Amino acid sequence: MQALKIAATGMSAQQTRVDVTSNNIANMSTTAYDRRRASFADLHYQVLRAPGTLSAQSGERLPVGVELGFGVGTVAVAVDRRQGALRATGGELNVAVEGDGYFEVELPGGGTAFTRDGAFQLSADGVVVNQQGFTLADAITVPQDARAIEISADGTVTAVFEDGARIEQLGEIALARFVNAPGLTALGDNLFLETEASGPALRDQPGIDGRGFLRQGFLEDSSVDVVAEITELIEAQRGYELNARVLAAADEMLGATARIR
Amino acid sequence: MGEAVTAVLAGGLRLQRAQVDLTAHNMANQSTVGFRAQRPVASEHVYARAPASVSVVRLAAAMVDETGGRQTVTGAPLDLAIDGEGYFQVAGPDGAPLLTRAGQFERTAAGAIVAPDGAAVLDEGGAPLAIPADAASVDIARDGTITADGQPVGRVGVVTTEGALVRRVGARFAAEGPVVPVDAPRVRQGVLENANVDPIGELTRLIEASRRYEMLQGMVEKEDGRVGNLIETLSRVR
Repeated sequence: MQALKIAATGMSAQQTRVDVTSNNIANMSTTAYDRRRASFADLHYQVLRAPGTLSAQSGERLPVGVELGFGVGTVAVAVDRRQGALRATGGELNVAVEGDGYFEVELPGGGTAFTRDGAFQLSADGVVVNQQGFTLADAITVPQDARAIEISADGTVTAVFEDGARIEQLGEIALARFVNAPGLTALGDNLFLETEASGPALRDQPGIDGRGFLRQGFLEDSSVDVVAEITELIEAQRGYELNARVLAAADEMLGATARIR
Repeated sequence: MGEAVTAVLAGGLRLQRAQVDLTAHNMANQSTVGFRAQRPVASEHVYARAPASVSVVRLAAAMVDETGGRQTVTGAPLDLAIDGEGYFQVAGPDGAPLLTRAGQFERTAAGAIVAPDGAAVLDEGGAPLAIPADAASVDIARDGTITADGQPVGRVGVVTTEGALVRRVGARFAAEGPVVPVDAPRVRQGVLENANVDPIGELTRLIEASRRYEMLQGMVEKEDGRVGNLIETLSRVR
């Protein structure tokens, strides 16, 4: 009797679903957060009688067989890449991406990471850094006497000096695109690393091949839909209870078996 | 005669256990995309013809429940669902195509369309599907035609079979007979089909099975008592 073990796999799947959902809800206000979704697949089958074999009684081919399944397993927790709403913040170094592109930042230990969180700041020496203080890979340094910074939709960064009398181009922000963006691995702090699954970062000017244009003074909201997450949570909870009910029934039956003299 | 009674009761007990195992598997997979529930089919099996005809029950088959599952809108471009009949085709481990209703697909770094475990998604002819790596937008029409940046790049195969379906891991089936394309497939983009498990029905079957099991177990005990009495009575006869 496998029902005990099978029900346990069902309970553990629903638990994973609750974990993923609660992480989504916790990140409902995280800048540019993409909701995650757990996906499941049935486990292997014990074939007691294969369909298509010859019947011992009639000699006919059996149209269906007897296959007992062994429950469920988690196959993936996939990132659901979706554009979040853009929120006006007015910050001149707040940049949102309206498309599929990622900013590239340099990690202190070497290598680069990718992020859609465009809440940038200036370091003490005027270098554009992200919230964690990691330098933007496009290495843009703002002179100390600049009055204002303009970032155009296609990524050109210009500094305006002394009441607009002098304008200087500081550099360009490129965006990275991935063939399979859900294949990126999350590093925390809204950062992602490229992997074999995501493919290499394809860096180009914003707006090309769906990278999306930049919007200065905006930040991207989390794409978590709280109502949908709560529905998911309730479903997972009920699913857990139903599997627990199966576990209890299997237990009762085993108990009854043990009582047979 | 007592031997036959025990065999009949044991057959009944075994069937109820198999029913609970199937229900447990269905319940465990209630959140598996594209999962098709299993339904047990019991059949009579002749145990003895003489002196009296005795038959036992046994599990003859686990049918595939073909009813469509509830659909959920996800909005992801490579989440596909089929309205009505048909299955998607994915490459199996031995190269032979497998059928599935689970249309949760992804793109690899090289642009191939794959299932979450990396199995290639196939077109009608059984060739793997791919989207150019630089394509920014992917649209899939009702008939399964894939358009990347406005250019048609292939068509998702939707097939059906008259033959038996053998279950494989990942809500997939191996077809025992020839596979034919569905005439007018209706594919939906951005939608996934949930498992077609009906929790209330499963729970009812679960309760039925446990009660029947208890009843049969009670009968086993009564039979044990009857045989015990018989032995005692006979041993007193001199």
